[in-house]
Amino acid sequence: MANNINTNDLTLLTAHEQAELLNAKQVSSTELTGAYLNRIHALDEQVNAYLTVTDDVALKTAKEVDDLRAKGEKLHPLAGVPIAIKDIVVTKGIQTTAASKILEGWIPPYDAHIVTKIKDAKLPILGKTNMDEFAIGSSTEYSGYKITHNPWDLAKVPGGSGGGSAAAIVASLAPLAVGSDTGGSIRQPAALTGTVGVKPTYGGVSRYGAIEMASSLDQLGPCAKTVLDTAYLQGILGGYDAKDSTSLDYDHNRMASAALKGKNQDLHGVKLGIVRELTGEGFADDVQKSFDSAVELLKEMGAEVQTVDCPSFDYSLAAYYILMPSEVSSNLARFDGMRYGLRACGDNLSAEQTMRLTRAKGFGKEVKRRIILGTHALSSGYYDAYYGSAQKVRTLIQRDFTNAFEKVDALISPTAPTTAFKIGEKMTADPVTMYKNDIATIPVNLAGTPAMSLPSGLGADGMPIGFQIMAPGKMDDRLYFVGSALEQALCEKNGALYEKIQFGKQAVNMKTEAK
Amino acid sequence: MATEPKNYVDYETALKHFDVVFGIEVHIELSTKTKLFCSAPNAFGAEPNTLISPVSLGLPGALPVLNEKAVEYAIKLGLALNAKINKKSYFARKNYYYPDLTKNYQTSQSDEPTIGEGHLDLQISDTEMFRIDIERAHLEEDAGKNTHVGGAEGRIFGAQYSLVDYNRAGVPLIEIVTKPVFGAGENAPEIIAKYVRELRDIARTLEISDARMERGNVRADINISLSPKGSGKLGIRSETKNVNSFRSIEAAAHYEIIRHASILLEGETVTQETRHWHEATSSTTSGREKSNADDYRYFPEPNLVPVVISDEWIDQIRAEMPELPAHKRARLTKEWGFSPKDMQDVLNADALALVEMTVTHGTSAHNAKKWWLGELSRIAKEASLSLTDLAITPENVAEIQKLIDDGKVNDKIARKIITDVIAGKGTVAEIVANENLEIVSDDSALKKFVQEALAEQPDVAEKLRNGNMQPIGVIIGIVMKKSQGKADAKKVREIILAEK
Amino acid sequence: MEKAETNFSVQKVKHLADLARIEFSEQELDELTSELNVISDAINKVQEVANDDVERTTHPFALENVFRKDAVGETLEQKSALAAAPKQKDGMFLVPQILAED
Repeated sequence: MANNINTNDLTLLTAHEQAELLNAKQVSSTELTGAYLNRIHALDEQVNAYLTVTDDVALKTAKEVDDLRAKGEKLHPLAGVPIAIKDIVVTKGIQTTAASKILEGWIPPYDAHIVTKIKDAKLPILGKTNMDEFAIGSSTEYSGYKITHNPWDLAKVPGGSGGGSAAAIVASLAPLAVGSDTGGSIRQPAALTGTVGVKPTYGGVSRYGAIEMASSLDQLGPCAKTVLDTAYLQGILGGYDAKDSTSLDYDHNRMASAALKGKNQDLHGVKLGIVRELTGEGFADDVQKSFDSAVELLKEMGAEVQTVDCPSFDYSLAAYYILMPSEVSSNLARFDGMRYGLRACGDNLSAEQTMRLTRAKGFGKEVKRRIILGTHALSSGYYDAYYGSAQKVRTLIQRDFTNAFEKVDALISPTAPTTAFKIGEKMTADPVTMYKNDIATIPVNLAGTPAMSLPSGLGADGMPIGFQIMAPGKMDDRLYFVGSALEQALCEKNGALYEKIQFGKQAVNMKTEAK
Repeated sequence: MATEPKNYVDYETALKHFDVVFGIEVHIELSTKTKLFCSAPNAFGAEPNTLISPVSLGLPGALPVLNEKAVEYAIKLGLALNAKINKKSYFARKNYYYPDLTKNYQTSQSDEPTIGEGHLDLQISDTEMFRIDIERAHLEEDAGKNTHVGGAEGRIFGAQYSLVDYNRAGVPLIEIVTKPVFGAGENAPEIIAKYVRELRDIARTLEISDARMERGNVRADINISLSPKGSGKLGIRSETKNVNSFRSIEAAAHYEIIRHASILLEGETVTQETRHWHEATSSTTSGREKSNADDYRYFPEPNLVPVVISDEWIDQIRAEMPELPAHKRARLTKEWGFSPKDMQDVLNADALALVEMTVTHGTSAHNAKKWWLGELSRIAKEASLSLTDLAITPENVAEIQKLIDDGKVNDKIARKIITDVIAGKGTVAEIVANENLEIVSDDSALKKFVQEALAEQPDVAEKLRNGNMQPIGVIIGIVMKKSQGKADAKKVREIILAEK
Repeated sequence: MEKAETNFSVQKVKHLADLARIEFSEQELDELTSELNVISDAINKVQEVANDDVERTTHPFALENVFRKDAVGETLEQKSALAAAPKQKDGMFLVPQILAED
């Protein structure tokens, strides 16, 4: 370890900064990875970001990277920078549960495509992060194991379903994390935790080995403290995979160059559209205010901003809550206690009864609710009216995007209607209250287009606010370009948001001093 | 509602009162190297659960990718069935829970299958054809296999538990569904069996399936319903499953017609249900009641994209189509100088391909037919094997027949060679050489045996010399014995006549 | 197209639970029924704009003919295929007695 750096400072750096230290041999991956593991063991009991921590796996990769670097081997630029993976992603030899009791103890015999890519790039895997069960939820309160707390205020939710990955990032329990986004599960937690999260174009990142929630909407993507870090991570995760029939072939290395270019803060010639349906009513005042001042910054950098209409977005929540549960009802059918995972009863009952009891015991309440709703939407006599209509709404939403992108290069909106709410606050009898958190994030999932959430400031309650950028399909680089410019401008104006968090600073010092 | 009648009427009575309407669903397992949606091998007889990948085991996160060859095979079959090849087809999920189904949905095709309407003409007599109209044919994945343990003869009822092998899970199937078929009359059972056999032959000819009934490569579900004679009113149908030989198909249809008629004539209503065929008792028993509560909740499989078939693709496959069985049968009947009955006998013995290949190796069609339908059928029957399972090839048979034609062995020795080949004692040539089986056609050797025989039997020799040819067999018999059966009897007779 | 209005009754939810193979207690069924009725109001809205002239979207991007060559790839070893099985016997998955034939 270079003598001018200590472990506390190390974990507060961005992944990009850590990679530079590793490449300059100022820090070893073993030191960096060890620093994170220390922090996780010291602090995660307060956050519950992780379901599984894999010290041995991480340190083995770290040592390998250090050895290869010592030999002068050519390594991936991010080699040795640790990463956390949402528990929805299948990892060979590492328990994978999707935060469901029904998969408790399941050790997969194969790796997801992106895990293979992460291993190829030699990023030490710190562990698996908490989430709402099967990524169904918007607060991580529906995890089958534990509730993740928002490091900005431990009484509040970190958003969901990827609350674990987002909380791990902002609490500096991982510099990089993988999330999955079906209706906002990367972006809404990013907004609520003051981090950056990107849902790439549908097909941009292979879904092979991502436990399916709603297959036509699911997309894996990067989570990190900065736009540039997410760009680098998308460079690793993205790319064509023949094992995913919906995979698209386009260049993901251009994300990082777009993010670097964005740092120049020159948006002349860039046309941005505020989505009329995703502002104003339904969005909290402080959220709207933060959004408006970010828009001013964008204009100052030369962007032309106009308001555009996307009338069908008003129907996106309804369409989403038909399509998603329908696919959920089918995707989760395989969890029946026959081949793997939980079997809830002894041998004296029939296979059918065993399935019924296993699913009753293994699934949480929200998952069951959506399975029943989806079963209804697909059932004979209702299919055309529900599923069929929702597919048509999808077409209409795509048309809205197409029309909008004829006028502007990217669309913008707040990511979530409010800042983080209190744990337990929305677990009410009316599930629709919770569903409305996703109002701004859902349209891009229905259209398959990419979107990013980055922090735009803090709300009246001192909690982070997210700013969403949406781009046309395969044009993910526009997110990184515009996002990076805005991030840079905000940083110059207010300082980096993630540095304002109080959580964990003291604890790390204590821990380090104790050593 | 009734599932069984109190008394059974006879077949003639059934047909006197009712018109038979039937429909057939045939599943053909394709012989692709890999499964429909993953690269695990498609093979028969491996150790359980060794031919599986995360996809075919339905592991969380595993995604399907369509096997191009399976689509090609579907197009081939569609062309053979004179069917519409749909320009755009989709896969859908058929949702239902069953332990042999790894994902608890079957990936199949619903509203928009790859193959649309078509037809197949069956020759039902020397002059008559019968057309079966086909509704559709679609691609889908097979399920795993359950073995029920603890019940009688491995059946489900009374079993304590089941063991599941997923080797078959994901094997590509094409399901061919007919429209309701009317007007077959008393021939309905025979026509049903003929139709399935024709599909089997087509699948083999196209080389899209091993099409072995006994391995379940071809599985037929038979829907039967009866309507009062001339009423045109559709009756309630039953669907008989688990029928895996042509004879059983015919028998099951026959049985179901009688059962339906008996129930209806007793004034009862037939229950709409699945029936199971039992070989041992030649009867069907009640299975699962089919109700409208079956709700498969089909929806488009989001993990697969549409299949689009261009005219160029179809033309390319059409250009490579082999001669289809019906055409081939007509051609061979003519070329071989067979009567329609000769051909029918060959077909009934499932020996067309064997005879044809034997002919290809130089044997006359009549001789090839004689061997396969005679001696070889006898051996197969004795060993409870099908002709194709015998350890003898058409080439072997042709070789043996040539030895006869060349006068090198006689019929009796030929049969011995066949037995030895099947017993694995070597090639035809090796067996002939090792056991010194070749006919003694060496004139001097035979002449010596004849002279010895005449000397041993002076009385007979005398008679022969006096022109009484009746006891010539005695001398021939002695010569055969001396040559250890290897003498050519015709030749021996000639020598005796010269030497007497 | 015909519109569907759903009012969930306990009986209907029970039928759906049967289709979905989930056991519920009477109390759970009651709760679920009232929750589903709230959700139902929110989702019925899709029918307002789903006119006959709008085509359906299944995939965000109109891909077609994504195929795999018919070549054998990696398989799982029997041991690892069965590793997570709740019960196994003779290289096979042991499942409780199956009452109804498919």
